[in-house]
Amino acid sequence: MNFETRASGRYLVVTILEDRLGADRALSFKESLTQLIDNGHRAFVVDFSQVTFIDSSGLGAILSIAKRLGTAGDFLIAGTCETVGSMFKLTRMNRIFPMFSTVEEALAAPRVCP
Amino acid sequence: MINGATNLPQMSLILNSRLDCVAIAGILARTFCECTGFSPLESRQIEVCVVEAINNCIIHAYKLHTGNTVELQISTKGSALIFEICDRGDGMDPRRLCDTYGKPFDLDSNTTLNDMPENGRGLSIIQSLMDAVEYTSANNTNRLTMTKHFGRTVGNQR
Repeated sequence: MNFETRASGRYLVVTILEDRLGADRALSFKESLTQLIDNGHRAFVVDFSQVTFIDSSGLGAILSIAKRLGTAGDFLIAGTCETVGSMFKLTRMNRIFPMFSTVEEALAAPRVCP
Repeated sequence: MINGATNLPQMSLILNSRLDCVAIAGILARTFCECTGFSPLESRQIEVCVVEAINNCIIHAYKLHTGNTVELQISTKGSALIFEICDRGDGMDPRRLCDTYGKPFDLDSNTTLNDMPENGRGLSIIQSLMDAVEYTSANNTNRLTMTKHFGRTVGNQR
């Protein structure tokens, strides 16, 4: 799973460098971000701007990562296209995760968790 | 674009039971949808359904064992596109379709992250986005048939 990270304030911005987050890549994505959590990162903005496809495995990976992070962390979703956004909406995950149009908008938003 | 075409030939694709092969089937289904007049969003959502169905074959019917086959058939019937996904692995209890129908993703206001399961959304997604879904097992073949009508908005989204 290809992605890049950069620090911005208290957040680690994770930009997914793949166009698909499906079952063949979900486990690798989950393991990579879990490693970042285990290394001490507690606030994430995940940049989906290059992702045009997500399935239930990809959504499940996001839920798993967020659960690992726990309530003491932040997990923000940014840059989803219409299709990916529609999957968050269909599964009601948009009610669980703060979603923003861009990474910059996410970084500028009021802090969600202490 | 061939709007609402009803005379396109049936298309078939036989895949190895590998998760990294599934995207090809999804892209084929999406392209077929776009050529028959579905919107880009609808076509992408139908692609998700096809991918979910094939993932289920590979993960549940074949238990991730490679070297088996999954067949995708796409055809038109009247004002609908028909997607059939067949495998020869372990069959699914068809009651699972009934269990998820009509109540897939309803959350109440108290639902939290920890209440949300990490797995098991595939069938619910399919049933939410398709107009009809049927599952049969006969003659050592499991067949999931998904129907999507032209000119209907994607259902069950609020």
